[in-house]
Amino acid sequence: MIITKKIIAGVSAAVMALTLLTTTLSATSYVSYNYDDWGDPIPSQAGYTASRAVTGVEIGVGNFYEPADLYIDADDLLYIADRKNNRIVVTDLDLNLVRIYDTFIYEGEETFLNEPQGIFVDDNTGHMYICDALNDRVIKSDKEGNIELIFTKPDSILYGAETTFNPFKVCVDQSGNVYVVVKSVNRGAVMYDNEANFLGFYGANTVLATSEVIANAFWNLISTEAQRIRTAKSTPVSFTNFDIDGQFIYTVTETTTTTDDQVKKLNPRGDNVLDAIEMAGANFGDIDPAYYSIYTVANAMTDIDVDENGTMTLLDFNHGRIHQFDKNGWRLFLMGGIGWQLGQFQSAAAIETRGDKIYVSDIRKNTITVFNRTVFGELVTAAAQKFTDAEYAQSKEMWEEVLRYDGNYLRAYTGIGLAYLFDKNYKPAMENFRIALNQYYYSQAFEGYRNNILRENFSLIVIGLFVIVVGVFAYRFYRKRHPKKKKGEGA
Amino acid sequence: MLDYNNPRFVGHVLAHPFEGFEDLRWKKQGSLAIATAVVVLFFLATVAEDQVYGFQFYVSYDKIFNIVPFLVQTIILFLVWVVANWAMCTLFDGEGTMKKIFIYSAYALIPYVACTLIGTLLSNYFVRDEYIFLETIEYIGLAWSGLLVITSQKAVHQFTIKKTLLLILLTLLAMLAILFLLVLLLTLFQQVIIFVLSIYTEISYRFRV
Repeated sequence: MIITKKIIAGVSAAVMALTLLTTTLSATSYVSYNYDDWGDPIPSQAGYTASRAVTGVEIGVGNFYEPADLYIDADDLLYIADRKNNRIVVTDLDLNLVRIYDTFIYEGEETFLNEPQGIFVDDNTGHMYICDALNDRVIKSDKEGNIELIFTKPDSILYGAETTFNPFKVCVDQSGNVYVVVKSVNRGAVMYDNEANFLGFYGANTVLATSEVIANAFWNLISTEAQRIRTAKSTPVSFTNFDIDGQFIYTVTETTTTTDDQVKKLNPRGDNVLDAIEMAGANFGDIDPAYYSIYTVANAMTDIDVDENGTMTLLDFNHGRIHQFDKNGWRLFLMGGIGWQLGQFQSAAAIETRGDKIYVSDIRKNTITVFNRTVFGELVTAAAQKFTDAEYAQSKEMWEEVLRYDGNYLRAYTGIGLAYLFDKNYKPAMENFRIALNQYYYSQAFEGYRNNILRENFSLIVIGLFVIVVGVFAYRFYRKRHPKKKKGEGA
Repeated sequence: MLDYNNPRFVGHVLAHPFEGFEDLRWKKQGSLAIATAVVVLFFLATVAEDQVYGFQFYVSYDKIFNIVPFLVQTIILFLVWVVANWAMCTLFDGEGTMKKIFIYSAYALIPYVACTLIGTLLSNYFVRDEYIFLETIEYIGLAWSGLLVITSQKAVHQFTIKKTLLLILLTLLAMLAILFLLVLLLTLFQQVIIFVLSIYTEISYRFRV
């Protein structure tokens, strides 16, 4: 009897352990983690899992050769800038071939691409913008391959006659202004109007006043002209890539010595609005970069994609990792890594998202990797959306469900706490903010809690104060009548 | 008149920053027990400030709690101050003995310790908007203690104010030197221990065969 019980218990424990294993690992080739509020990495559930890595052969167009850029347009078509094959491959979201652009017609003559680096489709007009890098031009073409306009090196004193023009990435805003990232320009993106007239530069990075920069400025004051020429100049790094969402342009900078300007969200004036939510200069990548025995791997944000909810998905080239943040800068998920397995990258180049899918191109593996959102990811995304829309009461149950999957997901506690706070249920709100280490909201909840206590015990407090004051006066009066005898003076 | 034979002399010292310590010296008062209690309280207040300060103002890294940094920041630092001050005052013909320096310096610390404890207690009842009150309490404690340190040094060594300030500066430098030597000594001992251990390991391997 006892033995059979033991066997049953053992078997069920083994089964449970197995199911636990399969559900927690959720079949990723890398460790799935997140960061707690101390900035320490903690294990977490995967928000996305890589479902497949598609080669050009599988699509039926022959192998890709360095797919450098991706873009998904309003018709759910995926554009792949297949750089070294000098073509643009268009597929649907399940990566079935739609068509290939390799020949374009300009003023009645055929013209070809030479290493297209960037692709953008203007959803308002349906035009494609392609950075034709080695031809030193950006072409604007309709969907049939007829080039309507060519953007070339600006003939302006502002641009400089000696500066080369090698377009890298392109995007177009709602009023038809065209922004081109040029590698040899560090004053921001080159900006054209919709008739290819040069307008100026947009959204330059700044030089942060680090100790090194200040020291250089000091030495420059006292050094001679000859010495000054030989010292390294402190110039801003040009940003690497961008994405546009409504009126905001998001830029990422791959090589920075500081986290300043790593990710920027620019309004039409060119101001970084991440300042407003205290996320300017925040570390959007891995908080602890990978250390090897002789060198540190810095974060290198190579591409960004922003969806219609303002969710930012960033691609870190050096760590081969994807970082997802919501509109207000809360960290959602991390995934990926360096390697050859599914979901890992050698040279991740471009990222695009649509719905619950993430597409990443790799120019060394020559594949497009597709990530699918997991059940957990779906849940967190939905709860985060409610959170962003300030519908805290509705998001409470969702966050509780999130905690059932992953008790380490600290943001859920803030979500639950806010639901309690808006419900004027201060005590549990405080407890939740405490776990989430959210001092700001804790203080607000505590203020309400304190006011409640003061209000409930108001009469008691007033009576107590009254008794104390009266007592002190009575004591003084008594002492005056009966002075204390000094020591040694005797009675 | 004040009762000079009373432990309440502490109160007299605190309330009369400019002559309190002179009176203390004149009446040959000051208790080693109270001074020790103050130093222990100094340590406890520092720990309390880190551990039970209002969550809305300060979060301590609670994954690890290590008592050693607190000991070094308070008790060891205070003892180093006393030793350095004593060492320096002998060069300057100061009149303080080691015991007197210990007692007077500990008395001078009382406002800081008290304000830290009061601030820590109150921080649990204030919200973030009211942080200015806590800050004020903290600054009052610091300023008061700072003043008392100067007057206590002046009284214990019977110096002019100029000489007192110079002595304090030199004491701080001497503290740095002492701490530097302590670290050096620790490192040295570590090396010696490693050396002995590796010899032991080596020998134990030889004898095993």
